[in-house]
Amino acid sequence: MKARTALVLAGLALAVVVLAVLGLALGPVRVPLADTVRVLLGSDASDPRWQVIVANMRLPRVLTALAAGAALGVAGLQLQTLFRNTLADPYILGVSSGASLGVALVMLLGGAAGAGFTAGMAGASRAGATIAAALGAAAMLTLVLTLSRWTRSAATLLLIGVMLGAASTALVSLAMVYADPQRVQQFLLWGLGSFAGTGWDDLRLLLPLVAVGLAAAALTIRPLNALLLGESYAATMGINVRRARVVTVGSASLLAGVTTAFCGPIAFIGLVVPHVARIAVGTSDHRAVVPAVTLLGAVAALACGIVSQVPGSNVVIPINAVTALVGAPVVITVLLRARRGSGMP
Amino acid sequence: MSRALRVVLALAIALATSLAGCSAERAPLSADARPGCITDFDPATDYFPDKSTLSEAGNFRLTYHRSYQVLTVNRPYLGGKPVSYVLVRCGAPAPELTGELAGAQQVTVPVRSLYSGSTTHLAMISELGQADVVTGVASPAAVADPQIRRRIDAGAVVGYAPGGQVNIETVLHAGPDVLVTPGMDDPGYPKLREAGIPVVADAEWLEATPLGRAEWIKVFAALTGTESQAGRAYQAIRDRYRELAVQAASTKPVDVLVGTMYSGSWSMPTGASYAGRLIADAGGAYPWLTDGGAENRQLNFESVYARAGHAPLWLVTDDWKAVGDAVSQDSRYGDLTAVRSGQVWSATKAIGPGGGNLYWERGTARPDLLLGDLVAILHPELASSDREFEFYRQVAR
Repeated sequence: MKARTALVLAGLALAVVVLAVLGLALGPVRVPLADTVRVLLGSDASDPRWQVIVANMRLPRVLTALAAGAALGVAGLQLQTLFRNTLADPYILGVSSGASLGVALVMLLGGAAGAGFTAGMAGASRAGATIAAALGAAAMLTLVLTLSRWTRSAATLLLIGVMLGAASTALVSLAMVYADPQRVQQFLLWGLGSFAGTGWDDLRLLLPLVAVGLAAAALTIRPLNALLLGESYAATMGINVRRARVVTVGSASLLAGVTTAFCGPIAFIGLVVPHVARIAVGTSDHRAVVPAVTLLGAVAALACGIVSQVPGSNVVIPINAVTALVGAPVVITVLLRARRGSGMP
Repeated sequence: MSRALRVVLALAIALATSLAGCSAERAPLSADARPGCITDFDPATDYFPDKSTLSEAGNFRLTYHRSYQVLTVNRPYLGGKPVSYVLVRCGAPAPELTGELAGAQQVTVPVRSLYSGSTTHLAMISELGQADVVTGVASPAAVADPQIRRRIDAGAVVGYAPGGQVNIETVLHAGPDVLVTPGMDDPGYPKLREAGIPVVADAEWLEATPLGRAEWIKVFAALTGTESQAGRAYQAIRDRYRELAVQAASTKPVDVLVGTMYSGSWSMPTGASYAGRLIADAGGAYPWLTDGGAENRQLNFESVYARAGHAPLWLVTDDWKAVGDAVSQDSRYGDLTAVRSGQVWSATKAIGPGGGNLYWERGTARPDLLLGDLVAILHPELASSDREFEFYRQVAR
């Protein structure tokens, strides 16, 4: 590993730790720092409320942001390499829309067809929504990839992704028209994105699934490096291109689908984190970029999560508003500076 | 011009003229003999001897003239400008109106057929004994009112906006005497008015108080000519409501938690909202009662938990069978005091076969019953032991 990569990864790891600590210490309610530490060390806080706030609200929130950020960053990178397009990301390629469609079908129409008038996404259907989101994401990605056999143009492919995304969004609106208004409201809230919607129950599902997705993504490092130079080159390198595609699509769908199910369709992180990570490590080598996007994704999500739970305030700012409003100017600056400085594509 | 295009044009013109013909047929105000109609018009007679007077409602007013009355709705929908309707007693000649009323929509009353855009109308109409007037509802599946339900099952009521959007052609074809909106705008309404179908806005949801909302029964009275019934019914509702509120005000306020969380954001009614007023009138208290603004506020769970998580009672509208359902929906609910003690009350006792909830439907028309439930939950000592709950049930532990 190059010295620069090691330095960047160490810096990012430090940033993850710092932001995680900040995420635990900062929140809408002021919890004394000593109590936060006491709760984290497993002893009792001076006020039982601090116990609940730190252990059951902030810790899940921080872990969710950590997992979701890493997942979205890695999924974005995989898709950018696979489609050889720097604009590819789970959101733009319609993967998030596919996941949304899966969630919409379970959430909006699920109970209506059944006997009960169960309230929205109740416990049992939470797992159902997760599976539906991952399946929706996988279906969308497989469709895009299948269609990619007939076109060599990356722009066409991206356009197809956008169209499919629009089609599934249309199906979602169709489902919304016939759903109970209260559920539609819930679905709209879910669509704004949040890292605060998860409790420990959800994390028991979210964390292992993201871990599996990340492990599978690690297996794609070598084939993705070869694919950077084109499919025929990859084939001459002894890479089973078909298998590489399946594993990449599978892990990216899992990562994007699971994140979407629990946090809503989150824009921007999957698109931008890979760019910034490549600039930071100064290479496109996935051995360096994959760990960098994992950490940088977590950093970005943690930071957005802290901003969305405005310290000292009652209100909530949706994650998608934060990712776009706070992140976009920062990233535009970074991209422009890097381009001027190093001439990197 | 190609031949095909000419055919299409000809068809379009034929259709347009036939539609115009329809509306021309509907326009005359001297309708054939129907009950409540004037047969022998005398310009000096007051044809509205029973007049409604308003006490609580602020979003509409009624003014009377000899053969017609003017209904003015200040905000027909959120952000809407005031609009007036001229309700003409049938059999009277169309009044010659000037000024602001010159272009006002005229409705012949009493109406024989009414399309209702919101289930909140239905309890009011039933209360007036006018259920038979309802011939269309936005979404039949959402109706819980037993009288209207029976009419739906008998095929006497059609749905005209099952997906939320008004099916203009269905309404045009049926040609009801009036369509009453749910207090929201729809691009279809101007088209219906053009075609001669009166569209009247019912924006009771924009009233700040429960009694103000309930007073919209007088709008339906104006449409159906049942002013005296409405006056009696409303006065009884208001008296019972005020009596309950006075009783509750004499007690020490009880802390309650209101609303639920979704995707980490807690929807909290303000003190100025309908739900907030009901809880305050029932002798309840929660930290956001002093907040203004009629809309719910979206709060983060940390703040809600820190300030209201200890409340001994929790009022929800989620249809949970048991407290465990709440916890399995979001494990963090398990940290709330009311969940631990099993004091969770859900306004889902009276749900109709299609999922419609009488809490929304009848609760608007009968705030006295709603307040009675809330007082019985918050101050059980004030309620008689054999009292039956109308809308609320305690969620099983």
